Amino acid sequence: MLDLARQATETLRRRESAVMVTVVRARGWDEAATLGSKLLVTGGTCQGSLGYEVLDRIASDLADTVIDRGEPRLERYLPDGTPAPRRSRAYVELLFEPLLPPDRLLVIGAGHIAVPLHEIGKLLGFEVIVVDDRTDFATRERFPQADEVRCIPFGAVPTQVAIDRTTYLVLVTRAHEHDEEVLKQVADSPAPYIGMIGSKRRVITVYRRLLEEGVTPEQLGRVYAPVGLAINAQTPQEIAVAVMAEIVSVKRHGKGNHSALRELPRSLLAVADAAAPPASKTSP
Amino acid sequence: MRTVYDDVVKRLERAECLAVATVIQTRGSTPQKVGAKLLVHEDGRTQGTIGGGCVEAEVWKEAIAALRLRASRIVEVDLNDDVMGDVCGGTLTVFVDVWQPESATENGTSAAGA
Repeated sequence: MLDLARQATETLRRRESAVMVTVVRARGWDEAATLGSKLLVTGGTCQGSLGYEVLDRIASDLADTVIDRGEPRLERYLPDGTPAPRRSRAYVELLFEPLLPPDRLLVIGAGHIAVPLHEIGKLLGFEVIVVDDRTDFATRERFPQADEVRCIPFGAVPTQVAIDRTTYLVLVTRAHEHDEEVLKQVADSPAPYIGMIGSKRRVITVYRRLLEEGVTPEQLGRVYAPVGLAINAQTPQEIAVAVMAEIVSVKRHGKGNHSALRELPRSLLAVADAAAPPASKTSP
Repeated sequence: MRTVYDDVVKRLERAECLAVATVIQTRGSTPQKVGAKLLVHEDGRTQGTIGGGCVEAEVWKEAIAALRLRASRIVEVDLNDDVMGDVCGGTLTVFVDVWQPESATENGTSAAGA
């Protein structure tokens, strides 16, 4: 059992997903021997056993579905491995539990909003990484609760930090050039959330330049900027609340009232196209 | 980020047993979600929550008993019986899983090292 638990922790540490399958009921079977038997399915390989080969095979086949749905489920099987009809007298019930790496909050820019952001992020259960290029800002003292504080150039963020579909990304750098530099590289990443701080004016500036550089309006349309839910946040702490509330709303498919100008990139492009003389347009 | 399995590893490495109680089914109005976990150590200390109050007290008793017998068990908790006047109704099924340092059953893994 220790091996299995170790394997589970190591898988999660590598930020990979797995499914723990446990026999939780065994009616009409050898309950004492079967109850609590486990199978850990990690990327197609299995460790442990449910005690019956046919169950191991069925369980490992179902693992991907369980990971995709992200929720635990119960399934009942007959001794031959077929699904048990209701009222069956003899069946085995399996609990499938997805083991998913924790969602990650990547805070880019270690200024005054980053501090409450990292605190609320931890409070909400995120693994928090803070990045800045200034040694006196990217410090452990400033972000005592962060899982990682890294001092690297902003341009190196996408290569140094794996941005996957569990990474929620907030751009709060000190200058729009830095936001631009990062946004350009992460606009097509699988991150479920990209938020960027800034007034409407700053957002327009960044979008204009990125559109010129070939980032598509669809990619920019994913960005939440201005960042945060519309709660008229004023202080850094309030802004952090608005941002984290927005992230919860995105993560939980809520109906938060976003401040973001999601249609802005498209309209900026339309304006640019209309203003540009035909000759200056890039050839198709 | 610590998970329940980090605690399991820590305890088993110290040759201690550990009960992991997991909500596997809910019916009616319950504050708990399927998958919620409560860890019960051999000395009776707990970690995590499956909703608090009377539910936890009952599951805790069952977990201690399961640890003594070194056998996992299913526990059904009826929230309608709650004499404390809890606002919740419905029933809750909890699987109390006993993790042991040396597996009692020989579940033949092909994993290297033992």
